[in-house]
Amino acid sequence: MRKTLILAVAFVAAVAFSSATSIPGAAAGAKKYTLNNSVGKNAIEFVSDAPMEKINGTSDGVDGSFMLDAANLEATTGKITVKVMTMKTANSKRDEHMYDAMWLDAGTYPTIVFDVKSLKDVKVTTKDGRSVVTATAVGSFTCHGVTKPSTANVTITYLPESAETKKRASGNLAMIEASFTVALAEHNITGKAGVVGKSVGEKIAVTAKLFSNS
Amino acid sequence: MQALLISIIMGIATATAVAIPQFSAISGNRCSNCHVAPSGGGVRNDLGWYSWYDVGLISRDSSFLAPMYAIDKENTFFDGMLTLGMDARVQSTRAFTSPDSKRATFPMQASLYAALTPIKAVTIEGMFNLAALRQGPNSDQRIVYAGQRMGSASVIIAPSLSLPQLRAGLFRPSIGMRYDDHTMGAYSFMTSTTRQTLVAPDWSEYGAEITYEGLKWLTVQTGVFGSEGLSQVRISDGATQSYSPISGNQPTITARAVVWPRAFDGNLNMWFGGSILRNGSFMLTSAFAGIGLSDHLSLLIDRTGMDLDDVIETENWSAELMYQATTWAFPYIRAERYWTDQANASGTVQTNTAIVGAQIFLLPYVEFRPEYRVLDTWRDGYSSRWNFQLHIFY
Repeated sequence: MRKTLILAVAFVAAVAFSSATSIPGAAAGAKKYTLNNSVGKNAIEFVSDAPMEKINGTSDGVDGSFMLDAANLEATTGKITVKVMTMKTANSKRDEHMYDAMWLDAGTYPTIVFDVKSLKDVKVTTKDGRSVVTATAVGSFTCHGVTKPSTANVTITYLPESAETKKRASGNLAMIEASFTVALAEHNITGKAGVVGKSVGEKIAVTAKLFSNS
Repeated sequence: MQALLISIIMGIATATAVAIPQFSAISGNRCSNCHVAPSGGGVRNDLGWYSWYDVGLISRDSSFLAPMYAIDKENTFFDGMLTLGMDARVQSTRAFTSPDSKRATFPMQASLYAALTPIKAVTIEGMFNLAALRQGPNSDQRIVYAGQRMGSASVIIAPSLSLPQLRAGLFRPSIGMRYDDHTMGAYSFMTSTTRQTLVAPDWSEYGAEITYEGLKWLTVQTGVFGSEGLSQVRISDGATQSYSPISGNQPTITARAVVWPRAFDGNLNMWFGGSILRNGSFMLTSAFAGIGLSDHLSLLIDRTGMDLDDVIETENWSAELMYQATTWAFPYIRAERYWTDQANASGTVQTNTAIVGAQIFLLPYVEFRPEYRVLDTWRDGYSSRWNFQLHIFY
């Protein structure tokens, strides 16, 4: 009986170990990566594509960090925060409206947060010392005070520390591009009556370009 | 003399309820984004109202204005079924034909709008201009332009934003770009004594028009109309003979196309368009363009001309540069050139105008527009004028 149990545990452990995806050649162990504008300009872009109007927006008020274990990418966790008042759409009056209570209500909910709990569907390719990880980030998205489960398609470009990377920042570098959509209704963002679905999209496409070092 | 003065003032006071193409270029919105009518003018839709309800030097939230605006929440009522709006304008100006002309202050427009949307695909909209009820100072006749109407009404059938929409009724055919300036004379012509209006404010015809805006960068329109309004206009050949621009009972055909490209993530907004109105040998053509840097600048250029065989030919140009100094102040400079060739006149007539002005939104829904105009007319020398407009809208 005891032997059977040991075998079962060993089997489960083997399966678990084999499902963990790693970056070849990278040292095991979780490291904290912090967004750093010295590595690259951290920014998000958001697009509302409604029948009457397409609105492009950006924000450079992005902060956050994540824990990444190069030997177990699925275990990646982290939190990315965007300050609502840094979101711009190239129209100052429209931005004012975006911040007010009818829309994002920046006064009450000053930040938007993506909380990453894990990665799935991880794939790694390595070329010329640069590893590129594609995955689906699984977590939750908090906007307008409402938190909902969310996923994002992510591409992580991993560069181990080298003389070249030290010119930008110390430690390993991880550059991330993430994309996902946000349904306004799911976050109780009703906006001006008659505008959502006509001039503002019911769903907003978000792309994040994040640059970090360990 | 007074009659001449009035006619001249009215000649340069081509008031009409129009969209604001300068702001279209600055914001990257098409006319239909802010107006119920696809080519602008008339009642503003929910977004049109929302875009301007809080624009003002003095905020609607300021302590002494807050009570006044407290009940103002929407321009739509009954869950969007009813939309209301208005435009009222007063102008103070002096006629340009004499250095001694007296300043006159007069209402240009007091239009009430309503749009009823009983089901999503159908909107019935209408306008009534109260200013058209007033009578002239020395006449029993009401001061209305030839072809002008006191009101209009149409039904707009739009099954989907991606499909063509049909508009039918009594309304202004879609031609040119509808400017929110009451002194621009794209649709006017010069005579040896004054400038006259060809397309009157609140000109409308019975007819039907199809609009396609299924692509964000394109507007295409074509229509067939009666000619009752235009037939009232009289055009002189420079001699004693005067003509109607339209022939008999022929329908008036219109076509208009505008492309609205945007670039640099919506920071550069452009539109280029043209239109034609044809009735027999009468033709009215427009070519227009706008370039805008979001939140900063707009540059508008317009060329409009009419041609009636063996009677008259006109070519009117304007170019305007507007700067968004703040969300409530928009200074601008504009150059205009009006040129008319009457078949039996001794020569052509031309007027050049340079204008410096500003659109200043003092309070929400209240715009003050001072302008300084320098005119070079066919008369001797230059003259200059201050011109003021007060515009209250909703």
